[in-house]
Order: sequence, then C-alpha cells, then structure tokens
Amino acid sequence: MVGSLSLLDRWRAYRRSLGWRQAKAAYTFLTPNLLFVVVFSFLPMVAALCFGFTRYSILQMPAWVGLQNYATMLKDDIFQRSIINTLYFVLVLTPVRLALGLLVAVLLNQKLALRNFFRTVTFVPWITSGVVVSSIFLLLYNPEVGILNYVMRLVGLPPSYWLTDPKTAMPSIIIAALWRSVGWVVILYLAGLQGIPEQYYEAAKIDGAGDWAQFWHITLPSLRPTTLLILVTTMINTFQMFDLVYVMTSGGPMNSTTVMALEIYHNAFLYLKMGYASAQSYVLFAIVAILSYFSFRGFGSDVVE
Amino acid sequence: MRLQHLSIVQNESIAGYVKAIRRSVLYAIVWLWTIVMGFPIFWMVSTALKTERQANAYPPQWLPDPVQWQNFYDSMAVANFGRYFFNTAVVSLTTVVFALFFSSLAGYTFARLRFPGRNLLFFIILSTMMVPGQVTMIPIFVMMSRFPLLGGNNLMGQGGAGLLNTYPALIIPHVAGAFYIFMMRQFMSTLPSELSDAARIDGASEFGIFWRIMLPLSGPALTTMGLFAFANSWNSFLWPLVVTNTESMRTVQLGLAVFRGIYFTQTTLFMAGTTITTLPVLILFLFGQRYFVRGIALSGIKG
Repeated sequence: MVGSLSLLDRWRAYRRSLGWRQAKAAYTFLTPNLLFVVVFSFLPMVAALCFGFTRYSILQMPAWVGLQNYATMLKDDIFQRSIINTLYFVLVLTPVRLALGLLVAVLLNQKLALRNFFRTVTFVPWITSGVVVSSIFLLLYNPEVGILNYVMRLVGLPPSYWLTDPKTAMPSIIIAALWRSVGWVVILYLAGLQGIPEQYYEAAKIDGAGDWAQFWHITLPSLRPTTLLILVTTMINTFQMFDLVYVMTSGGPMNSTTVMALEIYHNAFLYLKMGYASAQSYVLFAIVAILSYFSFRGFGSDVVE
Repeated sequence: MRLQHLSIVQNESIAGYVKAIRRSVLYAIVWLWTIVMGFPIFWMVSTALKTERQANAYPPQWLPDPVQWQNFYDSMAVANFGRYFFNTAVVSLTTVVFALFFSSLAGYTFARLRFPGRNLLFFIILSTMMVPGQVTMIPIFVMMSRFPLLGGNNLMGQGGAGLLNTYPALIIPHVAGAFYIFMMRQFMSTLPSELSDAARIDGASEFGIFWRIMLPLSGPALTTMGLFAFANSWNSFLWPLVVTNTESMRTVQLGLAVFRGIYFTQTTLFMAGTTITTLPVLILFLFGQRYFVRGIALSGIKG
C-alpha cells in the first residue's frame, strides 16, 4: 500500500516535472512525422512484401500465388539482365564519382580567384532535372551532328554510336549520370573539409609534412565519416536511377540499359503485374541492404556518430 | 658572406618559380574541369537560341547568330506549358512549406528535447532512408487510386480514380523526409542552449521556443533544406509519371519528356523548353548558394 502510494506520488511528481512537459511536447511534435513514416514507409513496405506473394493487376483483388513470382524471376531473362545492368551502373558510377568528387572538392577548397564561380558551375548540374540532363546528352551524343563525335574526329578517334550501340550505351548513361551527380559529392566533401581543424595542418607543416603526406595522413582519415555517408546515400539513390534511362534509351538497345527501376516500372504500370513488380522491388531492396551493410562493415562502426 | 646571401636569394626565387608553376597547373586543371562541367549547360542555352539550321549544322556552330529570342516564346506556345508550370509551382511550393515545417519541428525535437524512446525513434526514421522508392511506390499508388469516397470511388475504394490526377497525390507522399529531419537535427544541435533555457525559465511553451527562438536562428539550414526540397519536387519525374495521366495535371518534367517526340520535333524549341524549365531552380540556387556549403557544414553532415 505504501509502495503503490509512493509510486503514485512519483508519477504525480513526474507529471509536474520538466521531463513530463518535454516528453509530452516531443510526442506532440513528432506525431505528424511518425504518422507519415507509418503511412508512407512502414505500411507500404509490408504491403509490397505481401503483394509480392500475389498476382495483382489492381483491377481485381490480389490472388495468393505463394512463391510463384520469385520462381518466375529465375526464368526471367530481362529481369536478370536488369540486375546485371544495375550492378554495372552502380558499381562503376559510385567509386568513380566518389574519387572524382573528393579530388575536385580538395581543388575547390584552395584559395582561388573566382572560386565561387568554379563551385557554382560544379553544383549546377546537380539541381538540373533528369529529363533536362537526358535531353542535353541526347543532343551531345547524336551520332551524326552531335558535338561529341565532332570532337572525337577532331582528335583523330573513330566516332561512336554512343546510346545506340549496346556496347557503349551504358557507359554513355554513366557519363551523363556522373556529370549530373558529382556536384553533390563535391558539396558534401567541401562541407567535410571545412570541418577539419586548421591546427592539424599547421602541426603537420611544422613536422615537415608535404602536401601529399598531409592529404594521406590528415585529410583522408578525417573524411572517413563523410565518405561513408556519401557512399551509402549515393549508392542507395543510384540503385533507383530511372529518369535518365527512361528518357535516353527506354532500356535499349537490346536491353543493354534496362535497369531494375525501369523493369519494375514497366511491370507495375505498363503490364499491370503489380504483384510481380512488388516481388522485384524486394529483390532490389535486398541488394541495397546487403551492399549498405558491407559499406558500414567496411568502414567500421566507429564512424557512425 | 656575399655568396651565401646570393644563394639564399636564388633559393627563394626557385621556390617562387615552383610555387608559380604549381599555381598555374592548379588553375589549368580547375579551368579544364569548369569548362567540361559547364559545357552541357552552355550547349543547351546556345542551341535554344539558334535557328534549326544552325542547330543541325556540321561541323557544329558554337554560338547562335543571330540570336533567336523568339524560340522561348514559340516553345511555350507548342504545348500547354503555362498549365504545366502552374501545376509544378503549386506542387513544389506546397511541398516545400510542409517539408520545412515538419522536418524542422522533428529536427528540433530530436536535437533539444529529452524524452523516452528518443534514440529509438530517430533510428527508425533514419532507417527509412534505406528503403528504395520502388518498394513503397506500388502500395502508395494503390493507396492513392483506391482512396475511399474520393474521385468517384465508393466506400471500398472501387469504381473511380481516387486521388490520381490530383495535387494531393503529387504532394502528400513527399512532405516529409528522413534526410531533411536528419539535417535539421544536426543543425539544431549546434545552436547554443542558453537562449532556450532562458526562455523555458521565463515560461515559454516548447512550441514557442521552437517557433520564436530556434527557427529564426536556423536560416542557413532552412534555406539549404528548402532548396533541396524545392529542387527535388520541381525535378521529380517518376512519381508524377505514375500518379497522373491527364493533360491538365501534367508537370513540366512530364511535359518535356512525354511529349519530346510529339511536339518538340525541333531541337531548338525543345532546348528552349528545357532552359525555361531549369530557370526557376537555377535562380533560387544562385540566390541561396552562399548558405549552401555553410548550411551543410553546420548541419554536421561531416559526421
């Protein structure tokens, strides 16, 4: 009796305290966001998992088919091709963009005349839409009158068919994607570089360290958390690439640029195979999760906050 | 003595030369980079201002002569672009206002308030960043098209188009984002706590502290985040493609892409259209740019 009374007293005291006031405010403030996360993330995740075990055309109710969708994927050449294309796209673009972004960020972090101009030109492609980027590169890649083939001929190289040759189509899209997204990596690395204390460099200079030594022993290690953040976020985004392929090649020629996002879109909204497309989206999810996990593991857990 | 002095002077001048050469190499690389990065945009604008003959000339013609300003006007007259712009502006601006409010409120809560379950909830929200849009896209589409009692649907969500081809369908799924919440939280943790503590002692409500004290101090982060949200919304393509199919609800990106082959058979008019489409984001970006790197640096994305 005495115990429960003191519990009640403690409860009453808590309700008058700052802690209660803050907790009440916190949960009120978070309600819209939590509701949003539940309705637009968790419920859809569960729903997509369930759809993956059904045949569902949205016009009729879903019909349970068990693992049939996953079995179909094993025989679906185009889907398997799209997995390979997506991995090719992501595993080439992500490291190249990371390295180039770091290099450019270090250059643009120097004291330069016109530095803001150089930075602006680097950032602008990133705020340009995928449709606009595709439209511009379609022009540049034009085999007959495009400026890229003009330059190729000028320097004595054979002209290329770029987007219309199955061998060069994916590299061409990677170049366009690189142009569009490298600025974002540069922004994040510039922010990261500004967070490195100047004293580290001063101390290193006193010890006689040259530019390279400073880069390897101060800059690079200090940027580890930034690098992990960029690596994981850009990789997840790159796996979802859709608009460049949709506009520039529609997956062609000969499915050489069909990526998973395009294949899922086609199945869901063109062929109305929403169950099959949902199952495919979970394969994409699994690949993203596995690669993110290994990125975190590779960098060690110590860099996460 | 004299000789020694001379050699020092020589050493210094050699060091000066090395330094000058290194500067020139640095500038050469940076200029080369800038030209490569700037060229596609330059080519878009240049093509937009050419005549069709000049645009298809070979060898390529670098600059338009004479400048065809008329192309901008003509490209807008080709399709119903006024309507597309209006739709996109409504969607983008609404999205930005809601995203700014909800994300900064959540960011403040996670940064400054102490409550049970804080770390767990933050982790849960962050983990949604890992989910590819393709996973949630189909169920959200179903949710929108089967919304009960709207757009001709009955109570079971059957019979009509639900929220498809409406502004809410374009806006609502994008009014919050884990990345924005993360950014705002990181930024707000860097603000001094003396002000909010003082306000709390003076009896300000928690919302009052957020609204009147923390928010006005968050200019760079809000500008940066607002710009991200606006650019994302303005440039989004897949979601509008999925939830709209009528001409009157089309956004500018859809107008450009879907009707590239139909209306814009002329390269110059098409490039004029892409230029105009890019302008709003570009202008906002140029105004907000000075906050940009700072906003991100202060958001502690460095880790």
